Amino acid sequence: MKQNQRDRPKHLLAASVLALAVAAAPALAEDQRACGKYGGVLTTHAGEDLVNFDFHQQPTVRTQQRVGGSYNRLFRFSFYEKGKIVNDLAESYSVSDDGLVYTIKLRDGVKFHCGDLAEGRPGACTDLDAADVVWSIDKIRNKNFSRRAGYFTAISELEAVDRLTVRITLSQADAGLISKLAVGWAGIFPSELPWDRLKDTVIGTGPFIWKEYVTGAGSTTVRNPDYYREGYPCLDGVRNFVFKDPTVALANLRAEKLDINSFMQYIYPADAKLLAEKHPDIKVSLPARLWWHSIAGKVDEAPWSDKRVRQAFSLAIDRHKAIEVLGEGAGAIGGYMPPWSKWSLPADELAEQIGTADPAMVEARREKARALLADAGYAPGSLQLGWLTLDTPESLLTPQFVQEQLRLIGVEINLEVSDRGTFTQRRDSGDFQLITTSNAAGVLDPSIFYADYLICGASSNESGWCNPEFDALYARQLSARSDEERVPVVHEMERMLFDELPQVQVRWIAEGMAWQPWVMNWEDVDPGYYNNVTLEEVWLDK
Amino acid sequence: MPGSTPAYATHRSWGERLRLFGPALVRFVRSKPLGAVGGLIVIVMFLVAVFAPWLAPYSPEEFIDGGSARLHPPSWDYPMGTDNLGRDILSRVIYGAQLSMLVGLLSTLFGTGLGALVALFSTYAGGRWDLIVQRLMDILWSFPSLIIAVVIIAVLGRSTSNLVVAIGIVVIPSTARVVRSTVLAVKETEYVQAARAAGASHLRIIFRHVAPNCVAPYIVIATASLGGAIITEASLSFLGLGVPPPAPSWGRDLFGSAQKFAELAPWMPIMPGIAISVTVYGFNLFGDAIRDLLDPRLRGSR
Amino acid sequence: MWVYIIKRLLLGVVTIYGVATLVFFLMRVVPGDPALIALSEPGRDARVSEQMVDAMRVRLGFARVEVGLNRDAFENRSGLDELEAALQALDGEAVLNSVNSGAPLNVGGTILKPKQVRATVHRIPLLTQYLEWMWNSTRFEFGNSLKVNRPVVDEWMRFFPVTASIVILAAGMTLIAGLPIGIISAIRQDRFADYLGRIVSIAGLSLPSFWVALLIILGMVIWFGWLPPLEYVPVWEAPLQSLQQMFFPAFAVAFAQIGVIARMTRSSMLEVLREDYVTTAWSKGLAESTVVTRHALKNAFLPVLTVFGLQFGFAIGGLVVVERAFNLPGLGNFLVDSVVFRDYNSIQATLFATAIFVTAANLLVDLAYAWFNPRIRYT
Repeated sequence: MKQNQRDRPKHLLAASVLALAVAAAPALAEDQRACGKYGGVLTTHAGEDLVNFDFHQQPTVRTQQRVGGSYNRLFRFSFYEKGKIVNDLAESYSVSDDGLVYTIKLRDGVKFHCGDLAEGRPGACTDLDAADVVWSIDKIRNKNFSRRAGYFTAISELEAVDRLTVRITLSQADAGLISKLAVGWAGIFPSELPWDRLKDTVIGTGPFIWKEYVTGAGSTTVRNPDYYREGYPCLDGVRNFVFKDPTVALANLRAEKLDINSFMQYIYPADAKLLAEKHPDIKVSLPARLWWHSIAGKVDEAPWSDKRVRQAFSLAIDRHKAIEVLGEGAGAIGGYMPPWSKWSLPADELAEQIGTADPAMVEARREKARALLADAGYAPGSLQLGWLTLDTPESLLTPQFVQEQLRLIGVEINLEVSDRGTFTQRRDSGDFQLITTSNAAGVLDPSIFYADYLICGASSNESGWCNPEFDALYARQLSARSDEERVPVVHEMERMLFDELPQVQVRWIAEGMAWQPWVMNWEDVDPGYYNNVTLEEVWLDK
Repeated sequence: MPGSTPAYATHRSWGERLRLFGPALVRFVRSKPLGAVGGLIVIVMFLVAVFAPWLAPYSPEEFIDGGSARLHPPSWDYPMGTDNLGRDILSRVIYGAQLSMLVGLLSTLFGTGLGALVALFSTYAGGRWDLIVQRLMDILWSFPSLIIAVVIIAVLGRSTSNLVVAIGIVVIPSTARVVRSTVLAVKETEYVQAARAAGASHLRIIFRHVAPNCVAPYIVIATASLGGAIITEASLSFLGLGVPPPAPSWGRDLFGSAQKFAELAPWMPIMPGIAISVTVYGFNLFGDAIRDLLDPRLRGSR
Repeated sequence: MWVYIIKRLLLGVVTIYGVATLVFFLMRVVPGDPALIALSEPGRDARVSEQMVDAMRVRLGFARVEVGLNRDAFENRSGLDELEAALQALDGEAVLNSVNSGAPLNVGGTILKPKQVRATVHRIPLLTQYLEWMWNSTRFEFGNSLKVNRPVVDEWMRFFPVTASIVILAAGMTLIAGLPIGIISAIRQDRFADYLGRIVSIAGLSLPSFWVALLIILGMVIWFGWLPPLEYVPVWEAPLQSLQQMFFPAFAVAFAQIGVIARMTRSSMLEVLREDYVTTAWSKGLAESTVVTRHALKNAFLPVLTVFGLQFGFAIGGLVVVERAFNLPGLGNFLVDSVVFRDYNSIQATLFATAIFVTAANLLVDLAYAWFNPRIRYT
C-alpha cells in the first residue's frame, strides 16, 4: 500500500487525496530521518525586518521564515517527498461520506513553550487541547485579523468536541482543506493568547522556542527540549539574520557565514549562475515557484475593455524569450495554473495559446497581433499606455521585457515606477492603466489561485473581470468529489481565461535557495513559500 | 593678477565682447590649462549628447537579438559589452549623456536662478522680506541635501522634470547665500546710494547696478554646482529614484542589475561609472578655473 | 555680541520649527498610507480588509477608537450608563480588537456580546496631528517608529553609531590627506605640485562615492575574497573588527571630502598668503616652513575647520548611497527607508534632530568668523 503511494503522481492534490485514504494512520514512518549529529546553530536570513510577528497579517514570507519554527500545524508537508502531507499535531482524522464533516483527533501531551524564556507570557506551559486549535483556526478565518481568511470560507462551523477532538463542518466540500491546514499560516497557538498579542508574542508548540528579535539583527530561536517528537530537533537553535540586500546575504553564504541562504527565497537565476561558477559545492535549487507575473488593465476601460487588444498583447509577448532573457532559462510559462501541474492545459494546447520558441511562429503571432490592433482601431504608435510597477529591481524585469516586446507591435508603454506606498495607494484606488499582477500562493490548488485573483470581486482581481459562467465553473470544481472530476472543469476554466484574457500571464518565476553541503536532511521539495520552515530534522554535518 | 573682482561691472557692447573673446580664450588656456581641459571634456560630452543618434551603434533601449545577446564582454561588436537584457552599453552610455547634461544644466539653472533671483530682490528690499527669505533658506539648508531630493521625488513621482526640480531645490540656499552677501555689499556702496538719491527706480537700480555685480559670483556658484547636480542625479538614480527605465541613465544603470551582475559582468557597473566620473571631472575642472578667475575669495558655498 | 547671539538663537528656533512643519506636511503630501504599507508585502500582495487597516491606523496612532454601547441590543436597559463608563475606561484598541474578533468582552464582570458594543474608528484630523507633533517635538518626545514599533530614539541609538564611526573615520582620513594637498597646492600655486594636487582633489569630488564603493566591493570580492560584514560590530565591543568593517565605507566617503577640504584649504591659504603680515614675514626672510605653519596655516585653518564641520553635517545626506552600497545600518539608510515606508515619526524626528544640529553648527561657524575676523559686521 505504501509502495503504491510513492508510485502515484506526486502532485499536491493527489497527495491530499491519498492523505484522505490513509487518514487514520499516524505520521508515515519513512518520512522521518534521524539526526546524524546534535547541536549547532543554523544561520540563515529572511530579508528585511519584521514589522510584527503576527503571521496572519504581516508580510508572510519573511514572517514565516522567522516564526514558523516555533509553531506546529495540524498537518504538515513532507520534508522529503514533494506534495505529500503528513500528520503533525493531528494524530488522525476522518471525513464524513459527503465530505462535509472533518473530525480531527489531536495528539495528547503536546506542550506549549514555557520556562524562563516565556516568562510572563500568557499561555505558557499549557497542554495543547482542542480549544487551542479552534482559537487558532478561528483567527485565520477572521478577515479582521487575517489576510488569509479566504482560504477557509468553506468552513461553516468549528468546534471542540472534547479535549482532543476538533470537528470542522463545511458548507461545501473542499478537497483542498487538509493542504490549507498544512500551510505555515495555520500555526496553532494557545487559546490564552489574545489575537492581537500575536503581534508581539511568539508562542507555540514548535521545535524551536522564540528567544528574541532584535531590529536590524534578526531573530534567535533555541531548541525546545520538550518537543513532542522525541529526539528532535537536531539543532541547538536557529539564528535568522536581517539583510536588506540579498546580494550581501549571498556574499555571506559564499563566505560560509550562512548555512542556508533563505528558505525558498532570494536566489535568482543570476545568483545561481554565479554560485555554479564560483562555488560548485554549494547546493542550489531554482524551481519555478507558485509565483507569477502577469499584466492586467481594467476590463471596463479602454483599451483593455477591447478583447482584441488583450489578445494582441498575449500574441505579441514571446514568453520563451522571457524565460531565456529574464530567467537564465529558469522559470516556467503557461496559463493561470502552474504549467507543471495537472491543472494546467496539456502541452500541445498550451503551445497554441502561448506559442512556441520557433522564430517563424513568433513573427507570425506578432503579425496577427498587429492585425488585431489595427482591427481594433489602433494604428502603430497610437496606443500609449502607462504601466504601474514597483521599483525593486526584480519587479522591473518583466515590465521592461514586455515593454520591448510590445514596442515591436507598435504599442508604447511608459513604466510608472513607484515605491510601495504610491503603488499600493494607486492600485487600491484603481489609478492605473496597466498593472503587474503578481502574487504568491502557498498551496497548489485551483480554489486558491482563482479565488484570490479571478472570480468576481476577488480581493486581488485588479482587472475587475467578472464572468458568471466562470464563477459557475469555479463552484462546480469546488464541490467535485475528486481531482479526477475537477481537472476537466479546471481545464475548461483555463480555456475560458485564455479566450477572455482578463490578465495576460507572462511567466512563472523561478526563485530558489542555496545551502551549504553540510546542511543535512534539507531538501527543497515545495514550490510554495510558506511551508516546511520548522527545520526540526535538519542537522549540521561539520 | 588674474582673477580679482572688478569693483563694478563694466559695460561693453556685444561686438566689443566678441572681439575680445578670442584673445581671452587664449589667455584662459594659458593661465588655466586644467580649466581648459575641463572645458574641453564638457564640450565633448555636450557634443556626444547632441549627436548621440549618429554616434550610438544601437538604440539604447533595444534588446539586441530580442535579448539573446546578453552579457557579452567588451568586444569589437560591443565596445563596452552588453547588459543582462542584451542592450548595448556603449549606446546607453552615449544616450545617457543626454539625460545627465540635460538634468545637470536645467537643475542648476533652475536652482541657482531661482535662488539668485529670490536673494537679489529680498536682500535689496531688506527688512521683513529679507528676514522671511533668509528663514526659508535656512530651512532648506537644514535638510540633509539628498534627503530633501528623495522626499520631493516621493511627492512628485519619477520623471525628468521632477528630477530637475528635486535637484534644483538642493542648490537654492547656497546660491541665495552667496548672492545675498554680494547684494548686501553693493547695496551699501556710495554708488548705489547716489543712484537712489538721484531718484532712480528700484528696478532700475537692481538691474543696472546690483545685478551686474552679482554675475561673477553667480557664474562661479553655478559652474561649481553643475558637477554636483550630475552626481546628485546619479545618486538618486542609484537609489532607484531617477527616470523610469528603459530610458538610459548612467546612475540608474548602476542600480539593481549592475550590482547583481557585477561579478559575472564587471563592465556593467564600470562603464556608466566612468562616464559619470569623466563628465563631472570636466565640469569641476572648468568650474574650479572659473572660480579662480572670477573670485578667489568666494567662500561659504558648499 | 550677546544680542547677536540671542537673536540668532531665536531665529534658529524659528528655522527648526520651520523644518518640523515642512517635513510634517511634505510627508503627508507623499502618496501612500503608512497603515497600508505596514500591511503590505511588495510584489506579493493580497489586499486587506478595511477593518484590518483601521486597526493598524489605531495602532500607529493616526486614528482613535470611540467606544460605546449599542443600547438597542440590551433587553434590560438599566445601569447602562455605569457600564458604558466602565467600557470607555478600557483601552480603546483592545475593545476594537475584541469587537473585531467577535469574542465576548468582559467589562468589570459583565460579559458583553460583540453586537452590544460599538467601537468606531475615527481618523485624527491633520491639524490635531500637526499640533501634537509640534508639542511632542518640543518635549523631545518622538514616539515610535511606524516601521518597527519601537521608540525612534532607540532606532537612532542603533543607526547613529554606525554613521558616527564612518564620519569620524572619514573625517580623520580627510584631514590627513586633504590639508597637506591643499597647503602644497597653495604655496606652489600654478606649478606642477599644485596641478597634481588639484587633479587629485577634483578627481575625488568627481567620482560618485557610491561608485567608488561598488568598485571597492567588486575589487575586494574578486581579488581578496573580502566580504561585507554579516553583522555590524559596535566600535566599543571590538574596536579592531569595527575599524576593519568601517575602513572601506569611510574611505569611499573620505574620497570625495578630501577634494572639498583640499580646495578649501588651498583657497583659504592663498588668501592668507596675500595678507600683509605674511608678505612681511616673507620679506623678513623667514623660512618657508615657518611662514606656512606659524602665520599662514594658523589663520587659514579656521575657515577650513568650520567648512569641514559643516561638510560632515551635510554628509549624512550623501552617506546614504555609501551605506546602501555597503549594506550598513546607518542614519542615511534609515532616513531613506523611512521615506519609502512613510514612517512619518522617524523621518520627522530625525530631520528635526538634524535641523538642530545644522542650525547649531551654522551658528558656531558664524560666531567663529565674527570672533576671529572683527572686520565682519553682523546685522
